[in-house]
Amino acid sequence: VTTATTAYLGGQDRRALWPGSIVDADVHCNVPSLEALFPYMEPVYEQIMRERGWLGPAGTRMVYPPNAPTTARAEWRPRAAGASADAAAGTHFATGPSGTGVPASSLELVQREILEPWAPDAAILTCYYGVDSLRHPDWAIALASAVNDYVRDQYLDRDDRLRASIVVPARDPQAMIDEIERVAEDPRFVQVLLPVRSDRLYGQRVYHPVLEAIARHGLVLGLHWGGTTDLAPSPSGPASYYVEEYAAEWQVFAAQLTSLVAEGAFQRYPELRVSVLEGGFTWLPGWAWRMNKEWKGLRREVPWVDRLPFDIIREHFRFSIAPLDAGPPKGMRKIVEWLGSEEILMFATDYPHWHDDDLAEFLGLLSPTMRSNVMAESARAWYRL
Amino acid sequence: MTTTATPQQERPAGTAVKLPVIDTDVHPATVLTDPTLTQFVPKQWLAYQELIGLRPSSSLFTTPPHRPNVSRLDSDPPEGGIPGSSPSFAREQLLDQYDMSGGILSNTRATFYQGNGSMPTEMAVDMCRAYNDWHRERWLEDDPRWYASINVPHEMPELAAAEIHRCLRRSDRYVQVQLERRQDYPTGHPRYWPIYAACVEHDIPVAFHTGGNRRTTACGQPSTYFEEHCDYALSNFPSAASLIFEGVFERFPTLQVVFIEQTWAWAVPFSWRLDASHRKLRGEVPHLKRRPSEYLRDHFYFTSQPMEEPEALEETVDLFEQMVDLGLEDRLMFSSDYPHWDFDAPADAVPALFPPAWRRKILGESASRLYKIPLLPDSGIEVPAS
Repeated sequence: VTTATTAYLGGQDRRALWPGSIVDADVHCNVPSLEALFPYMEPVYEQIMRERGWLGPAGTRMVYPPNAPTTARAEWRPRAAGASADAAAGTHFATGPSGTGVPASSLELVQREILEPWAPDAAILTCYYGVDSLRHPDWAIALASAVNDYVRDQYLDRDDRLRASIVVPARDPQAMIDEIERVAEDPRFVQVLLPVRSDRLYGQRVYHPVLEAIARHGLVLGLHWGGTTDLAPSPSGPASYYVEEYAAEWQVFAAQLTSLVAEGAFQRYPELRVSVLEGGFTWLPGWAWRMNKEWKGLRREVPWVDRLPFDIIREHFRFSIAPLDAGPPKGMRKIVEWLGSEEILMFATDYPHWHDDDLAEFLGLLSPTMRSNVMAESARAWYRL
Repeated sequence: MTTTATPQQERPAGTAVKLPVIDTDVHPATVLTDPTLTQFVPKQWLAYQELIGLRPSSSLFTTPPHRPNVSRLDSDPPEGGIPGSSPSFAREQLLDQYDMSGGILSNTRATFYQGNGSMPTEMAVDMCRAYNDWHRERWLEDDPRWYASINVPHEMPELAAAEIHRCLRRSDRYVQVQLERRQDYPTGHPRYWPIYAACVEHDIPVAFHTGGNRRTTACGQPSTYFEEHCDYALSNFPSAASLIFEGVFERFPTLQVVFIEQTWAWAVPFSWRLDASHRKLRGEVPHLKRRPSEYLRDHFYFTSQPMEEPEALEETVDLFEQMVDLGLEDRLMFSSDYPHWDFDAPADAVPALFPPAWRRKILGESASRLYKIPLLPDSGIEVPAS
């Protein structure tokens, strides 16, 4: 018998793990190929891309190297004939070993691998496409819009359980707002996906009109692993090994969280809600204690931060539990206790990424209320499903 | 050199006992025109400063702190000069006040001389040398309880190693190499290995200290000192990951690393994260012979200030218990950060709720073992005998 982990159930019945309802806060769907987006773009962009022999944004490969075991579970690398866009073609999401296709690249795959076994009431799609790794401002906008329209056509219109995140060209605040305005009238888009790496911190005033648009439309700001900075992606240079970069990605989530709190985003936009997706949460108590402590000494500099930062975080942030990065139960129980909120965590499969956390063990550490919050109710309320 | 613990067991029950103290983070400071420093600076660079001036590269200029020299209100030396410029006043306010066995100097002003721009590279080399000489002549001569960190042109590792050798030929009270917590390359990158090799050769740790150099976050600079001060701890994650996954501790099995003023509540959850990442991606790093958490446990030290403050004081006990459970109970060392505004005094910083054995380790014993600094007999802060 396989251990139930986020998110592979094997042959197990998920009701043995959790009999109640489920909302999955982070399900990836990947663009199968650049060609799949052509119907959603002005013809000139197809021409531009074909002329250049350009195969798609490099951004996905930067943060999810195609062959890395974490990028997709072996079980979820499509092998069947008809799997789209293979490695040999060198596509944007080329996946090895050769002969396998793009994981999570069709509604049928998502249904078979996640929606059927987990039977969630709802699942929130994150279609990370590395749009930010493309510098051309208009081309990036065209690509982001195409992804959104593709997701609506291929997923939202075909399965009522699905909700989606709006992909935006995150280097250009006005273009971000325009795309939010264009897409947000469809209530099935419940979140704006902001890749956690950016050239500037999202709390800064240049982004405030974007935060305003997100809040005004009742959307959630979804901070998700990804993005690109052309400068070093950490305070100490670009990591040599992927495992090193992967393990240390907390640093950039913590930087964005701190920026949003320190810049007063939640006083200016009280409706603003932020989800930290695929960013872990075990780092939060220690980090937030430090913010509380600094605030006590330095708050005159940031008078808009009108209460303890940890209390602001508890009200305005939610964290997905994939990956869990769980320690021994004794230690994890303390972390959960220190979070000081029964609402702050949300279940996610993070499909098709590979995690090996023991979900049953983690659920066993939680109070009954928190268990049902984690599995469904926190996300249901947060995303107003 | 012997390590002497206070013989508490010989005292009658109910009286006070003393816990010996070593302060692992004391900040000497001086201005560049101070003649006690300029005597060590080659005339060429004094002339250069006259001709061009210094080009500030510190984020302390772009996110200015709330206090001059980030210092506490009472730390201006009576004889004049900026806080931290007077060894005798620091001795009085710190070593004597808390009856310390030692204070380790870490000069963050010298960490701007990394040799990666903003000044002629040779000037960076010579300025590190000048600071090291100043620490030796001004501070180590002032009191035998002062110990110094070696400042090096971090981004020129061969020259940095040469400076380490030079310093240790002059005095055995240089007890560590102090580097900026941010670098141009990942912390464990082989380009820095000459520095680590020199540390191993002299059996001294390498320390990474919080500082105001460029690139605080992966997404650029924060807007305020408050935010920057929270963000100082960000570099812990990439630095520790890099040192471990690059195989630094396989290459240098005796190397010890100290993270100064970088907090410590992150260490235990990060050890879980490191192991979880390694379980899935170990094929990429076949040179690692052990789990990442084992390297973290066996090669890293942490200093206490700014002391972790969970929302309830008693949770600090649970927090340190996590360190104990991971095998890190000997790896947290008291630091005051004198004379900075967020100074921690030893009796308050290490809670009285902690069992005496923990307080004893944190306040003095762990640092004594790492730095080979003797704990002075019958010295330290007085606490009631339990």
